[in-house]
Amino acid sequence: MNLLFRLINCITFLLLFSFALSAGTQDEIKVQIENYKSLAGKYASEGNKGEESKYLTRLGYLYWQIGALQEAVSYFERSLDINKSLNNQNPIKTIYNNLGLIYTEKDEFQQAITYFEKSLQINNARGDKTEAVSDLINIALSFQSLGYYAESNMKAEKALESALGINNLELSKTCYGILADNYEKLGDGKKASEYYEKFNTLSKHLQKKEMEDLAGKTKQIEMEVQSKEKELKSTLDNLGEVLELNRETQLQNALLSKENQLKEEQNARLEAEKAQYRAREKTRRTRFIALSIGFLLTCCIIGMAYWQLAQKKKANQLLLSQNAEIDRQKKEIEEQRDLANKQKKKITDSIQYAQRIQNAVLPPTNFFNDNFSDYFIMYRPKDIVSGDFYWTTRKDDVIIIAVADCTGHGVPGAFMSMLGVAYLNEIVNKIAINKHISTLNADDILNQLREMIISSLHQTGDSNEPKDGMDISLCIMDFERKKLQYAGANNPLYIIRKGELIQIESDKMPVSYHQKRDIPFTKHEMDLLPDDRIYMFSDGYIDQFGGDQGMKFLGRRFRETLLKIHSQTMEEQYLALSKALDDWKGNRPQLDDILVLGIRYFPRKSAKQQTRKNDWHKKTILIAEDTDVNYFLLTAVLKETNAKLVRVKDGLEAVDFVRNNDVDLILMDINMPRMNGYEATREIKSIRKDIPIIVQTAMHFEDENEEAFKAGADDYIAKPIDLKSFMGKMEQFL
Amino acid sequence: MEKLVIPATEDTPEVNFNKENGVFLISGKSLPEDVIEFYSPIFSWLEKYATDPNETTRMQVKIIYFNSASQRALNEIFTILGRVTMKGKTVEVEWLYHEDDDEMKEAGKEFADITQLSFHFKSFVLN
Repeated sequence: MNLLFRLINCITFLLLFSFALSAGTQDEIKVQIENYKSLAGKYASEGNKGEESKYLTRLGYLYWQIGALQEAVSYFERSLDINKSLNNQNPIKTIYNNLGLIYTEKDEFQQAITYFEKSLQINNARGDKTEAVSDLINIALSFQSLGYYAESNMKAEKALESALGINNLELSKTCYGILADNYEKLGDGKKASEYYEKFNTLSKHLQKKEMEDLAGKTKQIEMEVQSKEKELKSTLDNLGEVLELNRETQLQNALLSKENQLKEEQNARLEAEKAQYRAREKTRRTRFIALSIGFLLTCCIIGMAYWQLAQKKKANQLLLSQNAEIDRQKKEIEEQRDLANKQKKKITDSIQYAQRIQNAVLPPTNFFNDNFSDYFIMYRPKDIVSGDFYWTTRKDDVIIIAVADCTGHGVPGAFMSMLGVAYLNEIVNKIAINKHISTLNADDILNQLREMIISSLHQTGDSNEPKDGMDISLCIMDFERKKLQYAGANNPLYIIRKGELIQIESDKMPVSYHQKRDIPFTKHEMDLLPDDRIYMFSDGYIDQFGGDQGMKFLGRRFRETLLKIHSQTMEEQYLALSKALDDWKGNRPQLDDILVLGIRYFPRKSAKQQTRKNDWHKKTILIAEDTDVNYFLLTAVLKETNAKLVRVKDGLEAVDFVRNNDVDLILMDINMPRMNGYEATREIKSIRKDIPIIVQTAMHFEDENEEAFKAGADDYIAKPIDLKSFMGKMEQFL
Repeated sequence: MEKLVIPATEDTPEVNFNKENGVFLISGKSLPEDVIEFYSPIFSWLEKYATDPNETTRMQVKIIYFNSASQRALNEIFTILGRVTMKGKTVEVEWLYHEDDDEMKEAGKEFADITQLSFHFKSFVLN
């Protein structure tokens, strides 16, 4: 039985294979092409245009199949011409569509679009919505390939609308895919991911449906197989019964004839002959029946074999389509991975840009070069941006330097560091301008910084709120008095002097909300000696895990290293410290941001000995300005000139001051409380016409300038102030 | 009361709090991504313990590194233990630090200073 099956299978397979061969190979196709060509010629000569065009179209397909695109185009076009003359809309539309597809294969998308548009026109006219959507999709894809994403979107949106209208999910899904790709290319990540999501949802839904359909079909086939098997079995059983019956009959006949022989001896021969004849007849009939059944059975088996083969083919197709499904899912996953990678890149790019801002905020290298002849800065963010930062400013002969470590690292740390830089600038500038520089105190600066951080981050001490803040060491180096001030929050200061390391302990509290927030920071003050090496650092260096046992580098090892290398130049020390850290760290990741600053102190010339261009030390300049920042800006510029600066905060105060004091020049703001700049200018000019008044106007507000002149101002300067023209104008009047 | 046992990971310490023998150990590195997530079960266990504490509690802290967020978490632990002492019970904190780690010793002293708990300092050596 099995053997038979196999044999039949084999034969059928060979048969089918030869069929496939006849349709498949290129040579066969070429033969067919010749065949069709002669047929087309024949119909052409007969004037049968309908048949001719059919064969031309077939030729187009065959050339397309073997990849001869140019020939395919020319046959399709010939067929098209005939169909046009016959006004056969259906073939015309099909040919337009085929031409469109061929041109996409040839990467001639403009041409492809023209044909798809034509096909679309026909489909629209005929109201064939599904076909019209396909055309729109083809156009959208062509635009996409051309890089015209906005145009592609327009078409895809149109296609989507009608696809949704006719509830065609497969086409809608394609539209979502196109839209997502386009928006991504256009840089609209939000829309792109919106459409990707829709695409994915729909794909999943469709896949599920497809799988369900497949499962249903498989079950149906299984049931058919079972019922066929049952039929076959019952046929076989029947056949057995018939054969059994036959044998019994024979036996009975034999017995009967023997009895007859015994009973009727005389009639025996005749009767026996008669009976034998009857028996033979019966056997012959039985044989005939058995043979018939056998033939039917063989037919059944052959049928079964064919049927089984068909099932196998179906199963293979199922498998193929499942494979295609898996491929599609794989592609989808890859697309999603690509999307994630792209998003990651976007975020990294954005952080990298943030890094540029952070680096711009850090003191420029030339500040250090101008002020220190020997120094190093080891600045190693753990991630791209850093929670560690250094800050410095110079006021006359005083340089203030801070090294800080904000809570966390990476982006949150960097946010805090920006706050730190801004506040330090604000605090130091305010002190420097309102008081004398010599009154700057390291502890004051930290106290104020702590207040500003607590209030700006609205820290109330609630146990659930994050207590972000910073550890910091802050030094004030007074080059004139040769003094060093230090105050620290959790970060100590090391000074190596004459081969000994002096460790100045910090206050053990951060610059943020803390149990000890009411305790002021401690000021340490000492003399600066030539050749003092000053080291300021965050804890990133000493906490780095490494060595054989994954231990911390530790402060002790750091101090020992510094002592070992301190006599080298700062540049050499930097290299030695970097090497020590890298050796310790090995392959371990960097734990935290790392910042170490080393400065070697040399006494240098006082800034006061430097020459100045403008010296107005006998002049009094009245500055009427209510906004602190603007006032600080002006003083920062004018301080160099040694002029006496007097500040008033509104127009009334300005008028009062002029009544009672001598003034050489007035810088007048416009928007001030109580009395504005115009009124004040008018008043002052009515009292002291001789005092020049320069009004500060906002740039691009021409009417302000006019108004100022009307009020009697001598000149105006536009904010933001351009230093050069500002000093030029001042010179004119002083 | 159930023991609280959390094994150490690359960035969180080992925790072993045992009411039965009154020994609470926290040991290793503490730099979790999410400090609240790691420490809240420890806080709640301790809060429950504080309602019915032993006569004597021995808190062993053998941390080799903690980040600033973990510092606040440790502070919270000491605050809860501070409440235990207010009930008239004894809490002894053993602060174990690597013999070369001056900063860790200082950190312990700082905790001793602000928590008012009784701290004992012991150095250890890595094998």
